[in-house]
Amino acid sequence: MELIIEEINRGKKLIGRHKFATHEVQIGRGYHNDMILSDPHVCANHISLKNVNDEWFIEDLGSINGTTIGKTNKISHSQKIQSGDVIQLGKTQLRFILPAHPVAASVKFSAVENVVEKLGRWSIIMVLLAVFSGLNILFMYLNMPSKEINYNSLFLWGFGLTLGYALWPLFCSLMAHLNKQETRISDQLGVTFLIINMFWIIDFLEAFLGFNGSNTWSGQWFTLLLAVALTYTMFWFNFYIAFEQTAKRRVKFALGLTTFIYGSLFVYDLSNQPEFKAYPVYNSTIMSPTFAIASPISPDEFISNSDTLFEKVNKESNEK
Amino acid sequence: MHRIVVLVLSLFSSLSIATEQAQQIFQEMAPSLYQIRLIDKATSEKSTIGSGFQISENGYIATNYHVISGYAQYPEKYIIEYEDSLGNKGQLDLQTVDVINDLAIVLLTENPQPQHFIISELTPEKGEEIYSLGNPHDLGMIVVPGTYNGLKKEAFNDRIHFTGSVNPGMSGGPVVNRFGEVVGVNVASSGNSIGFLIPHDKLANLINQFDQQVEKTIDEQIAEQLKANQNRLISEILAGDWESKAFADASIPDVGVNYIRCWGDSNADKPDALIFKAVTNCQMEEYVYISESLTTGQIDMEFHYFAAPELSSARFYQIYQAQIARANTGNNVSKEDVTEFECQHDITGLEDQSIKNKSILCVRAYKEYQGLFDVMYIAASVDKNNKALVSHFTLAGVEKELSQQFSKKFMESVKWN
Repeated sequence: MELIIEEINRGKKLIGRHKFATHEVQIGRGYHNDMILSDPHVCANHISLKNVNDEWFIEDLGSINGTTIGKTNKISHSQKIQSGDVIQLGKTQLRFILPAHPVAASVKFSAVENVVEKLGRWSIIMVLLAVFSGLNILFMYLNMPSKEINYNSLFLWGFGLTLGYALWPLFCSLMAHLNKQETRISDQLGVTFLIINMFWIIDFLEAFLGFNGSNTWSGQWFTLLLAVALTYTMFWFNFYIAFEQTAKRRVKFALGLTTFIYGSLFVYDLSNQPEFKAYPVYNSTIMSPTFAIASPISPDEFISNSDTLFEKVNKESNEK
Repeated sequence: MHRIVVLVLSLFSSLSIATEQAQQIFQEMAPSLYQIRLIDKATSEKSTIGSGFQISENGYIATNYHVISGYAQYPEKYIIEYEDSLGNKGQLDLQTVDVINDLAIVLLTENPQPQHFIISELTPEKGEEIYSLGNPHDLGMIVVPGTYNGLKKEAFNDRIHFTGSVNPGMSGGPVVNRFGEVVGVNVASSGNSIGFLIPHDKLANLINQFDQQVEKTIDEQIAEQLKANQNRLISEILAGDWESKAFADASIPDVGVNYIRCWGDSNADKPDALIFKAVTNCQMEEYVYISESLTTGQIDMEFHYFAAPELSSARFYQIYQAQIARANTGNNVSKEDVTEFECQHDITGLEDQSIKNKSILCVRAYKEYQGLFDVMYIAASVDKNNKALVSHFTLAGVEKELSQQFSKKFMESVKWN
């Protein structure tokens, strides 16, 4: 019966895999071995594996540092190997697998995977980056209060901003790389910039509702909720692409990071509030006449609505 | 030659008569003049100084409200102290105030001296020589001769226009005619020997109402006076015909009272400006002083016009939006005086569809003087692609009903032509 030997690192990640169809396998640092290790703590002749009656046995050949099987068992005599056993010799870890070892069920290509793959195409990424930079530059241009426009700095800023935002997906790829996972830079870029671009829609919605709505409903909670959901979705995809982890763990991580970010923003906002605001805080959003769809109310109605305001502050002044 | 000598002589003699009279008045009246001070209890040091004058034989002394306002607001923090012409010191009790005319009456209980000032029954003639008495900058009592120039024009609450130096510290001191009768009370200087005085009839009114006033607490008196004052002010403005006044392509209201004065400016002198801007700012220059942290009783209005025919409407509106983000009221307040603002916004329009605005209204309530509010309104037109009109007003210390009537009239009188 064949024997499969997997080299694994300390994080139990696979480094190399070998299959032996012989009846004997020698492992050590010496070049005559069947499996040659470069670990300096391993002896030239370290262990020997033998197949007897379709069962494999391990034996330590009197090495200086010895060999352990499982957590702590030192191998002192010939010992039978179970499929899945992990041994340590020197600082090297090896896992033995027999051909009958069960494997996990195959994973079907998921819809998510398909989407990620599509977004990861460079043509799509270019379009997404262009939309992001373009809109940024457009808004910077619209807000320029002077007749003379320095296009150089405008474009420099626009592209600089895009580069800044690209740091996050690149960071995710780096983390994947450090975890011995595929970097998938293009997938990260594609997904991240698709979602960042979707924030433009939220911005527009917020302005549109704030402009056309009244103080009774300007949709602030609605747009905030959308923004939080979108942020969560982005992190979920970033983790999906970067790490192999269980669905539960991914949700936990994405939720945690989203909560952390919006929580910090909230706390920052709270700590920046003055003790007493002597100035009014109001929604001053206005948009060009094209977007003014709300039918105007009369001054009479507007003023009778203000009864509520007077009531509110009156109540507040009584609570001194 | 002979004539000139006579002229010079007579000029000299009239001058010397004035000086003589001033000296005489001062000598006669000095015992009834006091320096009034607020003493901070914790440090026993002076916190404010002013002047005061005795108006009855039983020790009632008139002064400015602003001299003793610290005590009126925080009686536990200060004591009111006097020092008379002989250097005697003692404590005073606050009796009644008139915050609108900046007057207060305090009482000297321990052995008041009998001599006191008489309030004149006549108003001086324009050009008449009058004499302001007081203790400027803590330098000792002095007398300043000056001229009565009638009542200040363009004032809602009457003030005498006095040519002569009224200096800090003289606040609360009397101004007398050549018979030594009180015709006014020092209140403020506006530099270059222009001073303002409270007419004597305001003090006479306060004395006449004294018996009813002392029954109430100081806070109650202030609240009533503020309410009556805003009622008189806003009602008078609402009662008038508001003529519409052209402002660029729009018409804005002219509320038709002379104490609200307008000033204008534009950037027409800057040809490379992206957007043409014009502004008209109308405000009342007087206000009611309540304490170091609270002033009220003002009205102001502001109108902005923006136009940029060559600009895309998207860009025009981006820049225009930034112009309406930070409207505020002009009066001073602190956390103890008022609540924070509550605001509402909506798209509003007039029946004839002559304008469509994004309108914002904010109100806050006074804590001590219940029923009074500060109201701020700002509206930005949103119906033209390349031009815009911003209309704004603030009312400080007004009642709800009157402020709503004002808001309605204001909203209805701002439109495109």
